[in-house]
Amino acid sequence: MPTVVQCPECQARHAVPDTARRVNLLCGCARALAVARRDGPPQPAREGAVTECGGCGRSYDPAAFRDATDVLCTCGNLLAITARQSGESAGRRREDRARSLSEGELNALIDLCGMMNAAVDTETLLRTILSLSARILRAEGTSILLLSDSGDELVFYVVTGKKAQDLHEQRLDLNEGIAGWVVRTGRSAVVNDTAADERFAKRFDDHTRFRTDSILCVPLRTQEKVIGALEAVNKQGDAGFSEHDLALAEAIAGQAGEAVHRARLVEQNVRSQRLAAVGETVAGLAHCIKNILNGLQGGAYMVNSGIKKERPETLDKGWRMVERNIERVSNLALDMLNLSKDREPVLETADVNELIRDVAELMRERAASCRVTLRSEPDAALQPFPFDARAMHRCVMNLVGNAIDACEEAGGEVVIRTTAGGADTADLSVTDNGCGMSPETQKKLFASFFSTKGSRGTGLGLAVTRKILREHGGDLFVRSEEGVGSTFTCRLPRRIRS
Amino acid sequence: MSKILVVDDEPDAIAFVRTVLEENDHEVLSAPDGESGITQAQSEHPDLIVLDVQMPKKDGFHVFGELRRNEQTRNIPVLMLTAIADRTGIGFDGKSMAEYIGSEPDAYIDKPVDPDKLRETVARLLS
Repeated sequence: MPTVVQCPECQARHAVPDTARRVNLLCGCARALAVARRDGPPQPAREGAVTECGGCGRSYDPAAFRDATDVLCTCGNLLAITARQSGESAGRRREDRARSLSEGELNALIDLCGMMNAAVDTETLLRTILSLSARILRAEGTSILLLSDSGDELVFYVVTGKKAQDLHEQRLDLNEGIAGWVVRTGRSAVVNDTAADERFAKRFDDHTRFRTDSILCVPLRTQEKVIGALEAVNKQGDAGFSEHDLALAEAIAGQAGEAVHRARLVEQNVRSQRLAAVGETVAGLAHCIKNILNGLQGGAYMVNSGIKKERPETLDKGWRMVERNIERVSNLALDMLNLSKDREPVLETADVNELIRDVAELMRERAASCRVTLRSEPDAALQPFPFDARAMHRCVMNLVGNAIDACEEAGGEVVIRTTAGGADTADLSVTDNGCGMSPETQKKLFASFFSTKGSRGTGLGLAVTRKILREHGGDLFVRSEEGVGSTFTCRLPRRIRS
Repeated sequence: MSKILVVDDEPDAIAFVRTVLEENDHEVLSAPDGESGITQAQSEHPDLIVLDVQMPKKDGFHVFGELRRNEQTRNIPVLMLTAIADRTGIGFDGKSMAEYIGSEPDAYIDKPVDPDKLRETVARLLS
């Protein structure tokens, strides 16, 4: 029965007579195939037997290639082939190999599939793949190398084993190393004597003071494209990596390639969403700052003009403008800080009724200047309870300020009320009879930098208010009707959360 | 001396522009929102309108559109003040203002307003 050898260039198959000791073939693609093979029909390789490369004379131990794999010599020749049926497909071969998987290996592969689906980011996924690969293949170290963005280098993306830290993020040229060859040609490689293999990149051993004796390396593919390689080094025991290990590694890599592709897509999506959010925030912030700067610049100009022209009223107006805008920028900074991180409210027992009386007092002048009546209606039955009084003061000031702004017509009225909402909660509401809000405006109400107040609003106030309430375990509710008015209700829990 | 209408919802911004323009002996009128800005433009026939973009309810772009569509205000030069970096496609379903309204304001000044630039631009638009 003839042996079949496959050309590494064009994948064409050639029959080699069983009796021939050395065969020199010229493939249709012009690749010279010099094949050295064992005498007679294929036999399991004997220990110590040596296969000599027909091209360069280099010797190989065929025991490593026992089960019909095509192995390239470092000089490019094909060698160490055993007989197999003509027309036998790679899928069939893989199937045959899989049949010989032990129960432990099969379980490990099933586990791997499950873990790959659960992994959230590329690095976690690759670490999972590698730790399992090292266990299944009984290798001293494993690594996954991925093609760089430019596509001309391989990067040690994730590495396990003793020298993991030294190898992490090291790069190698595509023309370098066994991994480079695997990615370039899209073929797997089993090398059980690295010293005899010209492709082996020794500089990584020198760099890490490690000795690599054997390597098993398979390509990682996604949609027919090679994206990197899975590599295992130093098989435990003396046997070296076998054809069986190769089949296992190829099975793992088959799953891993697609999983890496999926994880990368998810990461890309998250990255672009994050960039868009950052862009929006920065644009909103720049806009707020420009408006405040306009106020500061205007104020400074008026102060100078008042001094030069000896007009105290202009100077006074300008100075008040500067003060107002300093307060605006300080409020903006506080709001940004507040929104930027979660914080625990500083809970101290305080009187919510006193809080609304304070705010009413502080805002009375501003309300009067806008011809708005401001009243507070505290619920006398409401006893002091623990809440962050400072943060809540900010919330109520914010809501009352908004309510006054919403009352444009004369006869505007703003009422601040407290009520015991239930046994465990207290409600603090701010009601106005102003312009109210359309359903569209209500939908966008808590989006950062959304404001209906033109240049005066930062669009952060309500977002901050709701965040503070939620940090208390409470919430902010809105009821509004266009042309009728709005009520914002702060619901606070009255018990300390455990 | 020219008559200039400043339309801005922020009293501080109006006070600033008023101080700069009055120093150059212009008569300054003001309107706190877009709607009253349009009314005053029709009744007072100013020589120039200084218009803020970001105002509640009717923003500066929409006010500009109405001014250009109205027979009485069509030819009054408009100087727009904006803190928005991108001046196109805001409030016009992604279209630029030129596409949407058929014309652009006569000049833009970015906030924070530089008093010298404001003076120069006003002088150019009135000449």
